[in-house]
Amino acid sequence: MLFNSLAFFVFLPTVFILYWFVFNKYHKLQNILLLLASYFFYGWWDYRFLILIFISTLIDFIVGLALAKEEGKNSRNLLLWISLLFNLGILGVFKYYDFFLSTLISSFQEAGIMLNIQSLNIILPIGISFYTFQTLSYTIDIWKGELKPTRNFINFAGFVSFFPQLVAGPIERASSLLPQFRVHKKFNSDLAISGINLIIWGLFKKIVIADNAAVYANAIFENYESHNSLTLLLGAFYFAFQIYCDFSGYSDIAIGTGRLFGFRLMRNFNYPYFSRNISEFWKRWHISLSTWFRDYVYIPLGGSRMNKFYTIRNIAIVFLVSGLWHGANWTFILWGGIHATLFLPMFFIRSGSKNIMPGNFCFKDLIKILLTFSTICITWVFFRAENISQAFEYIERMFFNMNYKIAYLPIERYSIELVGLILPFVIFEWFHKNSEHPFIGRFKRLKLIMVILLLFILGKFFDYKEFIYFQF
Amino acid sequence: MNAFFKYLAFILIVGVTSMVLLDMVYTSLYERSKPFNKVQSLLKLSDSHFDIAFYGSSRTENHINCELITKITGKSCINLGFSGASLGDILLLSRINRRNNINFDSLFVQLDYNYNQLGLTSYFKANIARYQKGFLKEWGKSQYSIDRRIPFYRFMKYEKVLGFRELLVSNLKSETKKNIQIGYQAKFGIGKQVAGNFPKDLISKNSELISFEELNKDVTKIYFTAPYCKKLINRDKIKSLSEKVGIYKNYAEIYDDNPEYFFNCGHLNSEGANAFTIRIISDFNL
Repeated sequence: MLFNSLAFFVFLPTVFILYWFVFNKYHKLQNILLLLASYFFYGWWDYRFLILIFISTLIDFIVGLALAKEEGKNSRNLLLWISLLFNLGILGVFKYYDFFLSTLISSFQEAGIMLNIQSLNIILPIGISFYTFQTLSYTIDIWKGELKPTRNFINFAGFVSFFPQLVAGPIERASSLLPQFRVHKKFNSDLAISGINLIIWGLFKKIVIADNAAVYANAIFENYESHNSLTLLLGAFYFAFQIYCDFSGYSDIAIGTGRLFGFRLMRNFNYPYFSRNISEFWKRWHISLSTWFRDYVYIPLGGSRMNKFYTIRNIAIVFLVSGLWHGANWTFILWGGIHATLFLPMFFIRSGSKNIMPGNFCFKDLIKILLTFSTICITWVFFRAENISQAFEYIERMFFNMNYKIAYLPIERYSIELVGLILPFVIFEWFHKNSEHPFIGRFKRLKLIMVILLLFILGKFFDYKEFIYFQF
Repeated sequence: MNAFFKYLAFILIVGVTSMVLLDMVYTSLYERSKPFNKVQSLLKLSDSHFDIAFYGSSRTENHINCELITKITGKSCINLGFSGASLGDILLLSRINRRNNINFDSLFVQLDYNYNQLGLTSYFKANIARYQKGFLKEWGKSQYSIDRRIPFYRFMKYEKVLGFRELLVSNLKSETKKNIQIGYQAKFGIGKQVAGNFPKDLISKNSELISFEELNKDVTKIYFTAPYCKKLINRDKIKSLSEKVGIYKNYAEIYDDNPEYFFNCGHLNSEGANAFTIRIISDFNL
């Protein structure tokens, strides 16, 4: 079920009414309702894959309990391996099997050896990368002794499949979300109102900015060979806003929906395009994934505690794995590699550790922001391209075609038109960069009315697209 | 909880009021604005007589040069083709033309993959939805349903054709430059001939085509299939269209030796269109 679909606007009020008005006195029933609603939400897309979530939940629940009982190091390690193998195994089969197989076949072909292995050609279950990482964090935390396992299966299953963040995050930690299932909640109007505000702002970002940007970005990327430098620059610019507003819009709706049920989910985006360098960007972009990799890959590998060589290796591994997490394609791995290369100098001069966005903002910061954003736009080309050679051709044409005429695209729009929507959006975000949504301050009601009006006027309600991060 | 429900009520009131007000503003501005695409110009046409008319999709719009026909034969001609038109669109346009007192002596109707398409295309529906009450009789009241009952719904649904940008364009720009009396839109250059698919099986009968024949029983009707490139998959199946209608001419294969005539596999370029127009003049002694 998509957040921007009619089905969700029937589903959400129904669950809300049942949760607060029918089962409000029965905490256990509230949690059962959330669990059933989450399975219904996921099953709406493809009910067959519910079994996958259920098995993943069951295995990690049992492993968690067993870890609490076991004291022997070897037995504990074995239990952790069971969880790792299962979760990474299903991820490997469903997401990466065909990719690695095709890579293997073409490598052997280069050497003149023909391999005849059938690919699986199976559908990628949506959100698989998100919920497997969420359950993994639970087992690893128990293994590390940082978390006690839950004995309540309903609560645990609710934590794994909590519908607001099930298919595209934020990737929650058990230590943060699971205890919230244990508490019998009382309705908090302020929290729910902030949730509604986040939902509206998220919908605006998705339906108005991302879906409009998608029309232009797709038209440009799909025919990049025939476009000039200006159009290709605009294509990268539009895609940057498509992916940002698509994903951060989803996160806002997820966090807002969670708040309607009294749950507090972690912030996933913090105005990443206002970063002054790549290091800062990664503190503001997909925060739940970055911190997951930091805590479960980077630090266990040694982090920066060893010499520079190992630090560089660890950073490179984290970025490459992060790239691969996004999709089974070399373009994502290269995208991760480029970010690692850009991140490393920043890491060693420690500029990213300064307080982000200080009060006394100066012109130098603006230049840094523009340079960082331009660099990120170029890296998005690798993320969006079908393959690596296409990405390089796109970039080569973008810089060396040298034709800067405004083009009329096959979608019957001038290439430059959407800048008229995106620039005011950026300015609007800039003035609200210290809050999670813009409906604050003296004119909060006026801003809300304006955003609702713009939703109707500029939103794409019928030509809606799936959220990009569903595929990851 | 009261504070929350008050806030929710405020949002709902803002939402509903916005939709009602926007519907009023959009309807009023669209009613006053000039047609800004070919379909809207065709819908506004009235009290005219043409010796020859061509109905169809872009495979008519881009292929039949009416100016050339008039120049050679001295007969008045109109190309009523528009991109993606289905037989349902053609039937409704034909009903509207009759209501608007537009008459023809001969009708040429493009027939190909569109034989398998039923109903109106969303592009045509969108153009009709622009008008508040127009064409109710021709379209049928049931078709309006939700599109009309919920304020602003039709503008959200058909945003691509009736969106904010189109509203601005239709009110700020002058009327479409396309000469509707000719209606021909040339394609230029030789593009890629990417293989398309012709349906493997044709449906047994197309009810909209039957209604079209019934509606225009007083007019001579000639059905034709415009040229396709050699790469079209199942091109041999086109022949079976001859069993479906009366006078029918299959031109699908006539330019197999002239790849220079094709803009792409389903569309001729201006050179090909002129050659094809001359061929039709000659074949039917226009």
